[in-house]
Amino acid sequence: MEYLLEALGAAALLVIGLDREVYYVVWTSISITVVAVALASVASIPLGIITAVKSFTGKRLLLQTLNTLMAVPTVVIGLLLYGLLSRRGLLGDFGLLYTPAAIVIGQCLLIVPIIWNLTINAVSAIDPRLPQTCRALGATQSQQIALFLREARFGIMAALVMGFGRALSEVGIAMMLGGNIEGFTRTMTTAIALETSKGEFELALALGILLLACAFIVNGILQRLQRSAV
Amino acid sequence: MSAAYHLNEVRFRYGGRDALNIDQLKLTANRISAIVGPNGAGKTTLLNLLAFLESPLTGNITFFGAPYGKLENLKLRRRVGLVQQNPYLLRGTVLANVELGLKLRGVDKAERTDCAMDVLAQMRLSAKAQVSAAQLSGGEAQKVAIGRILVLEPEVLLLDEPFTYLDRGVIDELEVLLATIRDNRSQTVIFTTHDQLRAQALADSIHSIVDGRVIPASLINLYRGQLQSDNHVFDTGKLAITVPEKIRSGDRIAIEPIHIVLSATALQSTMRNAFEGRITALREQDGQVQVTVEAGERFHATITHASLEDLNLGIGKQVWVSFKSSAVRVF
Repeated sequence: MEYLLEALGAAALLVIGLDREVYYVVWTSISITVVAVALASVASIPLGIITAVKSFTGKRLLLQTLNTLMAVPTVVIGLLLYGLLSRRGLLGDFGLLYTPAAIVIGQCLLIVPIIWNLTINAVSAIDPRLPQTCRALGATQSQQIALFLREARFGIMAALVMGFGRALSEVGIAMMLGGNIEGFTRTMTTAIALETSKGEFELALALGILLLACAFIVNGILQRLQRSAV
Repeated sequence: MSAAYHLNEVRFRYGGRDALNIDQLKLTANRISAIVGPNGAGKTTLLNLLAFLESPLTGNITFFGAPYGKLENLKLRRRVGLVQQNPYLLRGTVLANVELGLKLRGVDKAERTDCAMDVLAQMRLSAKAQVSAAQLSGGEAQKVAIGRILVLEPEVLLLDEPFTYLDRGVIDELEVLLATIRDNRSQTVIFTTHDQLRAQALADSIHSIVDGRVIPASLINLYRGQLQSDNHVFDTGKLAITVPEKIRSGDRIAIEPIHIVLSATALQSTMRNAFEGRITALREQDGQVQVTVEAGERFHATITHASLEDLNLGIGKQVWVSFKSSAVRVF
């Protein structure tokens, strides 16, 4: 117990003392995840809107697949991409393995189904009376689309926040594709795993506290969004 | 009097069946018109056509003398204002909802807030301006939906079943609003309702619609059945009603309430239809008395207060319902 308290104290000092090494790792984590969420949303938000609005054959199968992919283990994605990105792999010539770009690609694949699926839910939840209400109020075609997105905005933002949280807290992809290279691809989660195995419990704990703080903030935003959506 | 709308041979199909089939319909400008019909008669479809949200399959609609189709749809939509039945309010405050139409028309922020606040004051909703639209009661939401259209000052105000979801107080306010518009002759208003009596109280003209067709009679005494043209009788399933001899086809009949004669005993007269029944309701309407008689079918008759006293009529009393065969309209 004493050991844990001492470690917690030391970890707190690292966090409060703005330890350069600690904050560099936090910065790497957040910047990689932000890029991954941005890239994933460019693809999955339009796909989500189209899937929600259109009816087509295989829609049910697609929804079932997306639901399954929402729970895909990160090591599976890591494994598949490792096969593609490693020197002998199909995309090996690009030399992406063990770079931040590889983690971005992996996290992107991880959260595309999440954002896609939650966007479908957000758009499907729009009231069916909305399109005619817009037209009756004299909206042009582009104004109608803007009003549509505005009505679904809380749901779509919640999808982004969920994707961000999932990508930030995963460890399998960052470890397998990033390689946990100090000052380059070391993220909060990979650093925690490494420092713990090295016996640097204080540093691991400090990063754990910051990761929890990030998750706390992200969940706070999510809750606020869900409240305003009601 | 000029027509706001003139519909000619208008057909509209919905879900694989004829939803509207209107040969001729004129709706007068600067007057209040009521479209009366039972649920599923095609009233909402008709209003959607009048609001230019749907286009007819065939036929022409003339809007203030200009044929529809030659005019741009967006411009037309912006000249009319439709308040839908069970309207949808967008996320945001009441004020944002009332401002929305003006915002879509590019009116600047200060002006549209002024206009919206004026309308909210008229509707006694000023205190709710900053409240989220999701927190309103059903009646308040309906008022906001009406305000959202009134603020646009449309040339034609279209109201789809405006009284359906409202409580008594709000209905009274809306009736006062419509009466003011009617007395000022300032705006064309077209509203739908299934309530013939309310339509009579509020509208300058009433158009009845059944199964997508405009019919030449009120819906008060409307019966479905089969015409037996060989003996000039219309069988409703409960009563055999004698109809004019020249009629050859039709599956509905209607009798205007003023053509129905009530008497305490069977009359010796030329009237071919006479049925004995019991009074089930009395209601005052525009200074006259609406009497409901159950005589196999339910008949509604309009009589004066003097007749009511002379005949000593009351609920539960036996009474005879008589009318001429020529008073029966078959279609």
